[in-house]
Amino acid sequence: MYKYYCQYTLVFKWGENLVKEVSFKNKKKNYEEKWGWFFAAPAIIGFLVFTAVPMLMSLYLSFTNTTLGVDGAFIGIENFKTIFTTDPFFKLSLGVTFSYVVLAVPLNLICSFSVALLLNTERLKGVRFYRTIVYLPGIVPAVANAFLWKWLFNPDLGLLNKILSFMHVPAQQWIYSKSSVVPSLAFMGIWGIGANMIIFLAGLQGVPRSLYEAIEVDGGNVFHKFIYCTLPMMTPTIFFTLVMGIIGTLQAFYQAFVMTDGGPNNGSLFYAYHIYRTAFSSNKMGYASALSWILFVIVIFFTFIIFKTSNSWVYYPEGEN
Amino acid sequence: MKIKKILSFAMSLLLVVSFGGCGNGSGNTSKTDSNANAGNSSSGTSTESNNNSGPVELNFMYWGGLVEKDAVQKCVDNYNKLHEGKIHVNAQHVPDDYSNKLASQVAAGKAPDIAYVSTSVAPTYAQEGKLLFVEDLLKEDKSFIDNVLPIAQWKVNGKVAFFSTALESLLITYNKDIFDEHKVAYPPSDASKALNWDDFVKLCKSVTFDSNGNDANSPDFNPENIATYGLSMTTYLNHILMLLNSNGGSILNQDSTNTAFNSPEWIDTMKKVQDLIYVHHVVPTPAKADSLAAEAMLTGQVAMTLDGNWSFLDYNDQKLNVGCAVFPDLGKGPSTMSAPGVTAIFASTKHPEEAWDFYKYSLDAENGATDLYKNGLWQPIYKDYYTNPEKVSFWIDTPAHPQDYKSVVIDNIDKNIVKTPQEYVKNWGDVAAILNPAIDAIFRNEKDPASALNEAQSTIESSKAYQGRYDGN
Repeated sequence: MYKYYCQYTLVFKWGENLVKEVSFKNKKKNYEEKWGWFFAAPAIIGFLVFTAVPMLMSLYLSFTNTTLGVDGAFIGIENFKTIFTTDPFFKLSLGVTFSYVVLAVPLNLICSFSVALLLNTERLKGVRFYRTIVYLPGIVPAVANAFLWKWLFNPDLGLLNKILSFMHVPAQQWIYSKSSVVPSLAFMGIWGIGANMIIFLAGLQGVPRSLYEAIEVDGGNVFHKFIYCTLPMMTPTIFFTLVMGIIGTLQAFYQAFVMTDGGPNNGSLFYAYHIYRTAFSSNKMGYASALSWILFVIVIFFTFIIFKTSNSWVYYPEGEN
Repeated sequence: MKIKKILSFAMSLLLVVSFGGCGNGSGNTSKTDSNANAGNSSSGTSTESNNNSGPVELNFMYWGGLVEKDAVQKCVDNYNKLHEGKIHVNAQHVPDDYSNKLASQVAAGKAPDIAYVSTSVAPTYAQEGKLLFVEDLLKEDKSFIDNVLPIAQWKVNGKVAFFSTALESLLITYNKDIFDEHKVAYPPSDASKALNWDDFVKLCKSVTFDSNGNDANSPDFNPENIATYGLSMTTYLNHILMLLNSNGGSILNQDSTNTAFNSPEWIDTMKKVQDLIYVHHVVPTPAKADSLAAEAMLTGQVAMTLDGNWSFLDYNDQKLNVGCAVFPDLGKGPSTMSAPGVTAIFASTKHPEEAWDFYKYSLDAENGATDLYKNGLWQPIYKDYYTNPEKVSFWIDTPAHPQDYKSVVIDNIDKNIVKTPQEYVKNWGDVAAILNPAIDAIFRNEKDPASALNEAQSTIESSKAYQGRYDGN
């Protein structure tokens, strides 16, 4: 789904730029513009039909009491009122989701960054092989992945508890206890660091060698190189993966859907799973739409905050920006 | 340059994902809409052709696995042969996403004439006037309804709205070999001899064994290393409701003004269940249960299971030496319960009489879908299949049905019935969403039954999740 969106919007952006550039530079403005629009049309139409219109529809639905198969009446902000006052799962699921974001995002960033650092060398023999290995789990379909981890987490037969008992650590309940389910799922997320690792790797390769040489000339060691050169130069990449990570984890769904059913005792009731359950178990489409729009606003809000703060910590080399 | 590239890539991705995010969550409803259009055109053509002089066309939609598909198609073919030139039924098998597909057709005003309907939406449909009430269709057939088991009749606003497609009795199944091997008496199949709770626990203990072969009554029994559990029980609510009913409790309070989850009967029942797991060690913990094989009865990991009629199909395939028994008696006698799906006639049909005719026909066990009754998956909903000895033996004298089946199911079908809550509690989805985590916490020993159930009850009250009954009682 994501990839699909990414692809067509990239095409869309490309088409837009094409139209702009062409219309300024070329004398045959009209001709080129026409073709520009023509090439961009699939993306634009796709966006309108599959994203914009459904979004507006769901915005309308969020003000109705539509249920599956039964047309709803317009009820104003009643859904939102219920969500903020009596819905027993709204705050609960937000809490679960936020705790997952707080655990999973930093964990994923630190792990993928560290691995990227380790693999950012040509001196290591077979480095390409290791890169492939780290990236490999990312290709495993999410649901297959979830089933695999369900077995790893099993308190009786699971590999994780076997390893713990080997080290004389008491067995853990992992996803089978309310208190450990979210940390366990965040831990499971490390399995999928491959995608971020690739992005970090690309970023690391973009750090100019001359900067490292300058530090060497000044007598700096590896640590200095990392603090004064690698880290600042990598902030744009960290910024990107951070934003993407937060958006992705705020929408966490399949873990609850496949592995835990939102349990134990609502311990993994992610917000997106709450939306799903409202829509397809309780059949309340209008109400679920209202919930979705609240998530949308939350995502926008966090993205906005990170963008605002980015000026103070993201470094753009002069002349390139 | 590279950084700039990455950054611009990042920004465009971000833009997309923020759109994509809401598209995933909130786009669901509109997806249903586009389905509706698709459903529209296909079912539209067939209804239009009815105006011509050919046979009356009926659309029938249903779900189910392959075994079910074959049997139901056979039933439809038989009907079409019988009514050649007059009525023709088009059966449409929808294996996935059934409720959404049906909902979009209903929303577009192009519902099938007859269809399976999920129990979670069927009463709502009836209430919204989307269904024809069976009671209105009876006309000259008034006595017909007397032959339908009360347990299969669904009432909305005090009137019979539709029937169950088939019945699925809940019962206890057990692996006879384990009982024989350890010379333990089988659990009773005669309701009048049902075990009281203490005896039931004792029985469970005498077929629970640790890896050294000690049963749970022995002082040497090691609960940390259990090889065979006496009883398999999940958080499946209907099983709990059967124990609850026998213990004198119910979902709602006496005048149906509120749920009764904090009642002493609820708390006592859940305490008994929790003790089965953590005091008597005869039922696996939820985590342990997850690691048992799907065929735990066959592999000897489990001696008895709180089960349902549908399992006989698999047990027969596995050649398991299976027996069945009645539920224990917690005071009010062992309960009987059925967990059915329903079939309904839609109000939008242009041929209510023909639809009613097919409806009656398809629900009769002898008309085509016989395999499903004989292989143990379904039970008939018509009374004579339980009272007329010839008709009884027609469907239960098969390899799939154990010997005790008659005394467990047939003889108790109309006694001490518990109804599924979907049948009469409005807004059940929301009520269950609050109740289930409480039961889950009790099963995991994370909360004691009293506090878990009190909490659930107060959440139901504060969120106004309980909104009354459908059946007008």
